[in-house]
Amino acid sequence: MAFSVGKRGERGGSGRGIGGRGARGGSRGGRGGKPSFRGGAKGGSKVIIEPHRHLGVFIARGKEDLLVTKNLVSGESVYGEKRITVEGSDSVKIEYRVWNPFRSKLAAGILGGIDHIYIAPGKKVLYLGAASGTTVSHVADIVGPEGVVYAVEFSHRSGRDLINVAKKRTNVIPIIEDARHPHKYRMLVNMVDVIFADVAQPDQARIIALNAHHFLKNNAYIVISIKANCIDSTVEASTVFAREVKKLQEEHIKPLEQLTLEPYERDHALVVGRYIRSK
Amino acid sequence: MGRKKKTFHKPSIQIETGNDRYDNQAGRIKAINTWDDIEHDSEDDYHERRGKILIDDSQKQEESESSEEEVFALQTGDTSSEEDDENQEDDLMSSDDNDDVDDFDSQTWGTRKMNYYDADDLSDFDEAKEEEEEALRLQKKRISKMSEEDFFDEDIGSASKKDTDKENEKKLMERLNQEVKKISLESKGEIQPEIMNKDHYSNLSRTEIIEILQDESPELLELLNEFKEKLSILKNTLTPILEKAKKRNIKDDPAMKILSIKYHTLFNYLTNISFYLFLRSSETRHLRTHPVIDALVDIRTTWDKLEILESKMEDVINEFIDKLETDEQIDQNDMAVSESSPQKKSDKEKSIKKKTKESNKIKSQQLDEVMSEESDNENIDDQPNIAVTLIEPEFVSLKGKKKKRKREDTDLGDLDALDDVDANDKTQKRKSLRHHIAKIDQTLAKREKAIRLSGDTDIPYKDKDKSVKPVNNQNDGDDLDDLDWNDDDEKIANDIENGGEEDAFYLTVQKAKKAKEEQKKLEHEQLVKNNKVVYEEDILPDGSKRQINYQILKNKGLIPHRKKEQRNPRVKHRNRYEKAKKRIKSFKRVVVQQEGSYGGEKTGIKPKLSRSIKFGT
Repeated sequence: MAFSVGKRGERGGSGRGIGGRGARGGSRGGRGGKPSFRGGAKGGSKVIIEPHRHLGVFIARGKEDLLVTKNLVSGESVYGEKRITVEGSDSVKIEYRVWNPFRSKLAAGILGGIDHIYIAPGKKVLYLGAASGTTVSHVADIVGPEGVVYAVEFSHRSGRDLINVAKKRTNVIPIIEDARHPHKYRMLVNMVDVIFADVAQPDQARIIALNAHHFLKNNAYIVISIKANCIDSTVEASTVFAREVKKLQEEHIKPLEQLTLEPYERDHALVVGRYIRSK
Repeated sequence: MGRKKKTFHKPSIQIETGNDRYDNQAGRIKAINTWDDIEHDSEDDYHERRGKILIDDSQKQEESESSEEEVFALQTGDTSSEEDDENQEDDLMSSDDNDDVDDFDSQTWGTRKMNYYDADDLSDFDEAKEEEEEALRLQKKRISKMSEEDFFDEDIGSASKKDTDKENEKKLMERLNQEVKKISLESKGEIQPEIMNKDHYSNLSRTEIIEILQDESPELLELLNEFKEKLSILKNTLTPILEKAKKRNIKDDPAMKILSIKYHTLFNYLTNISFYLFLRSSETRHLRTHPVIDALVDIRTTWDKLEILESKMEDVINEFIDKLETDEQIDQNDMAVSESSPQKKSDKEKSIKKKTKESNKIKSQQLDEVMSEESDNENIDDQPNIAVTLIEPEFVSLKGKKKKRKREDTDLGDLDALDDVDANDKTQKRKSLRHHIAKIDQTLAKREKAIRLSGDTDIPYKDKDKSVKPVNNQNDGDDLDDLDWNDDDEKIANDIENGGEEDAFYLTVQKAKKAKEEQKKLEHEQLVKNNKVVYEEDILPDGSKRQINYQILKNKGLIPHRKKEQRNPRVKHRNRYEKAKKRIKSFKRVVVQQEGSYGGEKTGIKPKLSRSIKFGT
């Protein structure tokens, strides 16, 4: 009877649990299958790294600007993304990984201009719907060695990839469980500072609230990605967002800001709220 | 049944209800067996009537179909028998030899529509000939049907009849006046063909035609009269005299000279008039500006001069003529032995002489003549020719005559003599063509002026007083200094008026402008010349066709040039859609698919960007 709350990759509903490596949409994978013509940042081109407003996030300014995170495990790509190595002042090489906004809603949110992500170095993050762990790896980069990312994914197939990511990154704790039953993994998860949810389920507000009741600190923050089509495809995206916000409010989550993810995603919104357990 | 019996025993009550059925049958109702047994209300009646009408109509229609009448039945001799039709067709086939056989049948070609149409394209020569003969035959027939009355004016006949009853004299007088006008014009119907030629005049009455003519070209009528008059002079008086003179070899006599000049002038005049008439009949435009008018005027003036000269030399001429006559008589007397007729001739000659004298005196006499003529007219009306001869000697405007008549009634008898002189002058004036032309011009000018001065037209109202002559400034106003106006002053004034040196500058500017304009014009002309399509006049071999060019073939001249993307509406819309898609990005963020591997943000990343919607605290 287990309902998987998992991976964003499976949000069509059908074929849940067979989600490949969890990439969002087959065609979207940069190195996915089709031979890509050269469009990426050119190797050897001069790049300047500068920090973003959000801590732990950097901008690599070259011919084209890139959103990057400092690679926790240098010398390794997680999902075939490009890495940029920059030589520091004391001849220490620092490696950055390019964060693709087309594959990560959090990256899209950051580029779109969200005010706060509340994910910062040293924070403990509960990541619901971790999928293959692409975004999880970047979140792990952001929180750094002091922070912890609890990545919950129900799909075993994408869970495998997630576990592989977690193998390299010690701050990632993979949990292959249904997010609807937080009591199943309550023994693994501490109280967290932020919940990031990308579950893409019709009852995602309830799921998030359940997890928040279990693990979120008081007055801590929740960042939710909402895919309008997955909740109600019969009404307009904006109304879906409004309904979701209302649902969150009923669950003691005070909405702070909302941002649509155009041009990277269609009919997606990132909503940030604060969890207020008791007044 | 029981019910019926009951009713049977009911006492009969006679009530005058107006309804026969109830009244006569004592309230009983007849058994209803047919439709007519029931009483019908208005609705039933209506339906019944309707049915009846329908039946009647159908009957009528049948009848009409059986006895169909032609709307415009052909005038065949006998339509009832079909045999005749066949005969007619046979006749048609041999139309040339049946002219005298059956007049009726040859009149028509039968009832077949085919016979009347599509005859234009005759295939062979024989058919064409046949058709021509047929046409001629029809024409002849039509002409033969016309009687003499068709060519005569009915007015004349009726007028002459009316003459007999002299009850309404007033009417008669009017008539007579018109008649005189007519007759003067009518003689031998010289203008008749002219007028008749014009189709639109043909159905107007004579007086109307004359009025129109008088409006259109008053000189025409006068010229006609003049032509007749002068012709008679030339024929009857001058030519015989000159011939006689020629016989006698008289050349140096001054009278003879004058007469010969007169002869030539008249000849010239007549030829010119006839030319004018020819032009008129050929509907030449701008006749008024035609050189023939000038020539006519010239000759007319010389003729007037000649007449004056003649009147001065009257005695000499008369003497000369008398001498000629006597000579002739002597000659004739010599020949009288052989011929018996000359006496008659001499009589004739005498009459001619009389006439010449008449013509010489005419100016003084003509009015009296006219008067007598008019008074005579009542008696002579049935003999129009006499009127013609009476009028012949000189042209006199009828208006003048009328006036004259009124004057005559006045008590002052002396006025007549004076009037004669005046009238002479007037007629002289009127006679001249120039007078007429001037009159025409005057009326035209008047009309123009009226248009100019009227506020109706778009032309702004012009003040009549604007024609006030400019005031001479030099003589008006007070003299400020008591000096005389001298040449120096004038010079200065001129300088001031002309602007002096400044004027030179303006002149140069003006010149430069003009030159520029001219240059532009020249350039434009050159351009036009260069751009002109030059058609190659290839010499093509006989019989070969000239090919149409590319422009004609592709209909290039009419289709405006369009860009390639504009020519195909599908492509046009595609392009428009693409453009719109780009445009919408400027005011709305649109989802774009990632192309290839992610290369970065082309527009850069702004770390301080904040675009999220903030919910109220």
